[in-house]
Amino acid sequence: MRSRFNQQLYVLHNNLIEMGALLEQAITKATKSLLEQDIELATEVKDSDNIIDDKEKEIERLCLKLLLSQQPVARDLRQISAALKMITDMERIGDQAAHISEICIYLASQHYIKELNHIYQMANEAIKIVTGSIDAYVRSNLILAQEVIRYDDIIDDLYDKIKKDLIILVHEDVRNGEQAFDLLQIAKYYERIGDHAVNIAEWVIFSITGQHNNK
Amino acid sequence: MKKRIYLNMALLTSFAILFVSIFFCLVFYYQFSAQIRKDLREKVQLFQNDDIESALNELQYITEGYLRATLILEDGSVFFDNTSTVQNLENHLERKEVSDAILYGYGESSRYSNTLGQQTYYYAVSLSDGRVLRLSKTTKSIFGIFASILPIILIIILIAISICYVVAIRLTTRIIAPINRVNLQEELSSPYDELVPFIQTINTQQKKIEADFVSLQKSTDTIHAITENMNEGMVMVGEGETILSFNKSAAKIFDIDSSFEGHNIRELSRDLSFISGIQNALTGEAKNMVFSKSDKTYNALISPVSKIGAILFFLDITEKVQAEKRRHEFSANVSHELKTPLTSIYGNAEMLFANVVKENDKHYFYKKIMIEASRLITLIDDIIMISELDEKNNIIDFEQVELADVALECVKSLSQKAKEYSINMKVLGKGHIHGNYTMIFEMMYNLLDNAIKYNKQNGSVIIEIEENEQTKITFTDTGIGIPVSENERIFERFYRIDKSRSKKTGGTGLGLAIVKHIVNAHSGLIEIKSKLQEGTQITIIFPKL
Repeated sequence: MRSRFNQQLYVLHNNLIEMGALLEQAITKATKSLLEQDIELATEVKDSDNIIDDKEKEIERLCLKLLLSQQPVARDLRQISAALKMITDMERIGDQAAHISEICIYLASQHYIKELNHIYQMANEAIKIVTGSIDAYVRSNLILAQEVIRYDDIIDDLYDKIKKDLIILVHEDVRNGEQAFDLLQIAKYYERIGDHAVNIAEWVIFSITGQHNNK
Repeated sequence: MKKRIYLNMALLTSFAILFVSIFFCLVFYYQFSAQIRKDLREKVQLFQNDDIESALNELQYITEGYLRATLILEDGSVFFDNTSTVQNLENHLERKEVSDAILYGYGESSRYSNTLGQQTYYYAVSLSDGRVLRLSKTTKSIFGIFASILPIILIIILIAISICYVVAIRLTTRIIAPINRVNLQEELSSPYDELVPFIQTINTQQKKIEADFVSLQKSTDTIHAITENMNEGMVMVGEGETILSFNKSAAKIFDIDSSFEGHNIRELSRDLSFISGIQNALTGEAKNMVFSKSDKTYNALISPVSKIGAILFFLDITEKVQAEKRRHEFSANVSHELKTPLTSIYGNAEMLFANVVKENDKHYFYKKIMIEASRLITLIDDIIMISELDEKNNIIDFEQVELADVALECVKSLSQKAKEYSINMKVLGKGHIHGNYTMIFEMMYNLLDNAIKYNKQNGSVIIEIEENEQTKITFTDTGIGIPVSENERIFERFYRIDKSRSKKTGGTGLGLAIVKHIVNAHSGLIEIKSKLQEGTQITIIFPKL
């Protein structure tokens, strides 16, 4: 009985890692398509969102099956409920990556009004924080999870910086307004990705310690 | 063994008891029946000469319960019987003992009754009056006797078997004890002669096992030493994509410890192409891929192991990739740098050739061609120099180099340039190193050239040589300075902090790259201290050899 449960937990664990890998790939590709104005790559990211959604449903089913058939308690229960919460955030990250690539497709034919170095930096930090949160889960690493939560401030600061830059650009020339808005949107998506990664890290902490930061 | 010995003993004993019993039964039986016959004969003869009428009463008395006496008339009818009523008895003439007695005077026989399991002995004599007197005795038959003593035999057998059991245990223990005392760890000696061949075989086997074990241990140690000490990371993956084992280098690459054994391979890396590579390997397909992990690039070789597992090798190719990138950049830069002066030369020459230049301006065009050509020569010289330095990692022509002499020579060859910029140059102190003269000259020339080019009007350059535990050469200028963020990059080939400036000051962009190369070749160090708009201090430190 227990060994079957353990085996199912192992499957759950691997599925979560796989979903994490899909996310990392989606964000990396979305960022690349933004920088290189690659419509093909952006379309690929947009389409691959379905795979992430399917994965979420698959994991959800597995969690519910485990909860119903095994009626776990204590740490096992925490692990499964954390997984259930995590996949919601993970799926949202996938959505953000798809949104970014949608804007990329739209912007692909335009000349960027500013150098994208800050957005690129932000994208890199977002990838790092998502990787960090998934690593924290994979290795059940409490310290890493706490680091991820602190790290989010860097992304928030970058968002503010980009916002200010764009405001100046709009001031300089109103015609910049349209693209500025799109770029701000992209920055916001990265910022949201950071927030979701923090949520994941908080659920990792919950599954290890049984305490959630917001409570 | 105990069981076997016991069984054999029990069987043997039981068989012996049974055999002896039967034998004695037979012997006794024949003795007994002979005795009975003799007894009967003697008894009958007692009555042979007696008066029958008087003997009858006596007979009845004597024989009651013990013998059966029958008096038979000549016609075979029974006249008297002491055990049954006469009327019930049939004619006895046909009986063997009776007919014999009538014929020969006596007769005897014995008959066996199957139904009663009894044997009856008869002895008859012919009396003087022609009648026949027969005495008979009934006893148990041989089977009857045997049946009656069978329970006793069985009890004896049971007792014997029990005794056998105890004896067998004792015996086995005593036989086994010396064998048990044999120490298998040492050279064996046989407790019984019968076991000598067996023990000898064990001895040889043991020696062989020891030798095999040693060689096995040795090869295990060798493999362990190889895998643990090799720079390449090695990971073994088993069924279900689980990590079976990995070596030290792999642990370092993936930042894992032994607790990861048995975990899923996805915990090492979530790189999707990496995972699909392993999945393919588990179905028997090898793969060679480039794999990145924390700023490093690896060549991952994924080889299947008979479709149940895979071995992964990770070769660190970070430097190779970077070197390739540098080479690529270098050749791209070289082509670009060569093309610029050549285009200029070609353009000017073309205009002169087409005769579209006024006579007065021709001078300017010739000068331009000359400047660009000399720039090209300098550039090619530098490229040759740096290529040579790339080729030769070890310089052989080392000699004693007096640094102050080299410095003064550099000052001399650059005095014209310094005059143009109104720069004051000074050489202080002295010292020497073990090095290559041409290279040291090249190094100081480049540094001094930079110190002049990037100086301000009426500035100064001081070359200070110091010799203590180390030999130091310090170039201090009063120039425009280098931003701290560029400290590392200025040594890259063709790197310019201010691209617009390079046209004006000339130079190839290779000077500091050459300097760095030369300093490395002399195992030296470069230190940079700089303040923007105030000046730069570059110190070259050579270790004392």
